[in-house]
Amino acid sequence: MGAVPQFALEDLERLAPDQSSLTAARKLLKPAKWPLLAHDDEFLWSQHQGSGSTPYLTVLAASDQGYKCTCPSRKFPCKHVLALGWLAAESPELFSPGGEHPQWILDWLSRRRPKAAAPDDDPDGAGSKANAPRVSIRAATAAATASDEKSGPASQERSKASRERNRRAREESIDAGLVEFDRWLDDQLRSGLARLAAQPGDGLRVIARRLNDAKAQGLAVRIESLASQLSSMPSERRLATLATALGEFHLLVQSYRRRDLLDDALRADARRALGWTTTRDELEADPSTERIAGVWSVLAVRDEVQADRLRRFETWIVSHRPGTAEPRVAVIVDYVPVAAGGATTSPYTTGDVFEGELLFHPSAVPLRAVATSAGLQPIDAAPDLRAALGDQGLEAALERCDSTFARLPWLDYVPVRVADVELTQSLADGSHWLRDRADGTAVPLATDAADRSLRPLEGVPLERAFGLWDGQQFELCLAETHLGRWSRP
Amino acid sequence: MTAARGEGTAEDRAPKKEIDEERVPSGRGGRLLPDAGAWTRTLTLGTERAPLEPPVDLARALGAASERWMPAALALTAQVKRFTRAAAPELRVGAPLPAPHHPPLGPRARRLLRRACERGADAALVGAIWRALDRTGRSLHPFDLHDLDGLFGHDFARADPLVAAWLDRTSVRRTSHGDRSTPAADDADLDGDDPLWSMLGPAERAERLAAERRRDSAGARLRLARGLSSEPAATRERLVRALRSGLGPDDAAFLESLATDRSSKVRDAALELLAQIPGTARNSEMVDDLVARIEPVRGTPSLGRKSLRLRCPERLSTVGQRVTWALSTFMCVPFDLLCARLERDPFELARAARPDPVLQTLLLALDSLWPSHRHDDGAEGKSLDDVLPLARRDLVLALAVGRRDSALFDSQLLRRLLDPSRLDGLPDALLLTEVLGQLPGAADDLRFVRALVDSRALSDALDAAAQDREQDVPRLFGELLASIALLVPTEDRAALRARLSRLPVDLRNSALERLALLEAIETDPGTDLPAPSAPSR
Repeated sequence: MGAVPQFALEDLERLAPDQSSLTAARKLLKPAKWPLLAHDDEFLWSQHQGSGSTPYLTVLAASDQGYKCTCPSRKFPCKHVLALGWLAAESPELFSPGGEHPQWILDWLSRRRPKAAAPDDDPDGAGSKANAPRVSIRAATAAATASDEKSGPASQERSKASRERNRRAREESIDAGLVEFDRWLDDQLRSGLARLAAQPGDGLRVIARRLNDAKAQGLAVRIESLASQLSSMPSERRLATLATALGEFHLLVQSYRRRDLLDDALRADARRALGWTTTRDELEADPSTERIAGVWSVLAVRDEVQADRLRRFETWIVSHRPGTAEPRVAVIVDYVPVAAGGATTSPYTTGDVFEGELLFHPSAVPLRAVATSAGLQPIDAAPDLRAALGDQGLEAALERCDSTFARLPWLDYVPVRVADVELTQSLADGSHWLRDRADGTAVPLATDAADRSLRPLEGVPLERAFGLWDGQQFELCLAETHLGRWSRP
Repeated sequence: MTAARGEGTAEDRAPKKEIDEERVPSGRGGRLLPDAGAWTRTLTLGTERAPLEPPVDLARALGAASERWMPAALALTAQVKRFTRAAAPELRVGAPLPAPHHPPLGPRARRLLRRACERGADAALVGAIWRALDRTGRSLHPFDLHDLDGLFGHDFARADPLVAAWLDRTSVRRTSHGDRSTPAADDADLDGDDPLWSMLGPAERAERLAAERRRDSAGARLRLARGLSSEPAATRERLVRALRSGLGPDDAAFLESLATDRSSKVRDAALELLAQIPGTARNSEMVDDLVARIEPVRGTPSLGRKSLRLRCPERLSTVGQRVTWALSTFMCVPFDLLCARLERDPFELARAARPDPVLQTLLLALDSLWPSHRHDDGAEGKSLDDVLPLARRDLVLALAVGRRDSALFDSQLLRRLLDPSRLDGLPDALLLTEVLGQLPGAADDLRFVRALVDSRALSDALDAAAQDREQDVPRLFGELLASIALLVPTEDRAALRARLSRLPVDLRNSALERLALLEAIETDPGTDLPAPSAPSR
């Protein structure tokens, strides 16, 4: 293993998309925020504990300054890439020899194409980059220093007051947006839902845009997703789905409007559903945050592209706490811009095992969690997943789902761990159902006739299973069988 | 608000068409929710055209806010639906897939296999996987069949009863959710009743058809033939062109029947495919036409009969059209047949060509497409050197594609053509591996593959790629190395790995992954499958 690949600060200036990126990168140079800084002869790679629930993975190639980062930034390269190069230029001693490349780097390498010659190589100097305003390390450093100087007590007070003003302004904006939503919903009911069901895209996206402008992004994304969902379903099912969804939106809006009457946890749920976010730092600073440390196994990884062009990854994990309380299920949510490429994958794979502490968002049903700044560390272990999946029957599991939905009515779905079930088919229409082998309780599976992924499970007893229940259908994600583990492709 | 579970009947599971078929529990909700029929009508038409009074209890509960009772009723209805579970219809447990006849692969090999196939597996990779499984007596794991679905061809199905059962159960032609053992189900198969087929767009159907052709070319052709006449012309053309995958003599009769199609585009597509099937009248016509168009160039005594000229159809006015025509024509004509029809020995035909007699001869013919370059080099901004690499590659591939069997590989001419010692640098190495990937006889010839690994061409190419990483070369070179990795005999893998080690990681990564996959399969300990458990509760 040779020395750390060298980056000149001038290279970073050339690479940076704008001055603000460089300034932002300058603020990331504190080593404490980098759980991993590694190198070999060709690459630098790192983990940076950003605002996402999992550390951002960043790699930078020495030969052609090719890069990859899992953060959701729409700037290319992002501040993490620039900061990684900056650290290598100024503090190479922070990097340790990396050994074998992690799989995510190998995946990237298998897809990447080397960068073409930079416009700066244009002998005429006519390349677009050559004409772009210059960005400067010196200016970024000066800006960061000025920012540090302004961080005295008085400045902090001013910042706090400013944040409070912004919060109030956003509250007012959201309240105004919700009034507009009420008016829109009344209009739809007055003129009938038939037209909206027939052409969901136009009607729903108009109100979604207004809610987005009113800073109620959470509700806006739900409405945009509904538009996409309706557009892809047969027309005869649209009206029922639309009516159900509008009812849930109304419930959410009314709950938010009466948030002062709700308990703290449900109020936090309503705020989050409307679009308010809680950062990891805020969770860490809050003494009431629920923390659970332990060993976690990945049960399922789901992803969907949202209407706001972000790919949302849900990683469902379960804790192993033998001899203590019941295993705990949590979901880690990450976002990656679609612009980062369709091949972008979750950092997690079903069956991975990690160790670390999770911080749970306050909620009536605390499921969503983020890792602490220390991150989740992969470990080479194979804990007994069957024990973590429990041994309750389907009926008992669904009873618990009901109580969960009763606590948080707009929850999309509830994680379900169940034992001794089997895959069955309806004699009437061929639809797939999950049936308890002991008492015959059955629920429809979220699948269609064309989905062949379940076929290998036909006739195979599912000794333990994990899935998601939305009150109507069960999405089977993982099963332990005598043939081994099955997981949804 | 929470309804009891299990209420309702099997009819509740019928496709939901309107709100009134939902289980809106006006009875269970007392007077909180409106009557289902009136509710649906009002929701559909709106309160202006179908006004509705609020239920008494709901209005009372809402109090002053009762003017907006409809959104509240919507929310209540949604919650009731969430807490109401559908009654199960009569259910059956499907028959399990047959047990693998060998121990299935273990976790490591399964993971590598799925990963390799996620990135797209070509015929060469599938063949290598199959041979590795065969050598080591391992079977695919039943749970991986779905992920690996696109890989299976006839050979795989013949070799592995599990795969055969999977294909039988899931292939487009036989997809049906009913009981497989009933005569009615078999009739449905004969009708080709694929529930998805009619819902797919032309592009998706063409893709699906092409994939099925790789598994079951006759079945896919039958499916196409059944509903083709009712499709629009553009769709018919697209679907017919999908037959290119797995094209063979058995398709000739069907394609000839399309030669009278009402659409000229469909007719052209059918004729193009027919021309690619040796032995058909259309193919013979093309050979006749081509033979007539290859003429000795007169007035060049120094070259004698070695110099040939290709006379293109006069209707082709541009160079691009002529090149396209020439390549597509050569693609349809087996070279051996061409030589026979020209009554020339291939070596005689190719004698003056350098460095590669066959290609050079054909290129000399192709050369006549650029009449200007001989007299005024670069007059059209394009010299023979510019098109040489591409043309060589396309023409050799045409030979390989035209007759994809071991007999072609055994021909002395092609063996000389593909002699690794004659290869020159990266383009030739690329070309060689592409041809090797298409000729099963070549891939099985270990002497040949060893010669390639040891060849100076590969060594030069490795050096060049390590030094020069411009544009497309690394990507192509990575593919080349990945192809070689599949061909190398087990005992030579360490040598190849050593030679790859000096390359940048992004060039060697794919090849190393394939080596690791094959090694994992060949050294896999297998998985013992215990008996299924009885219910524990």
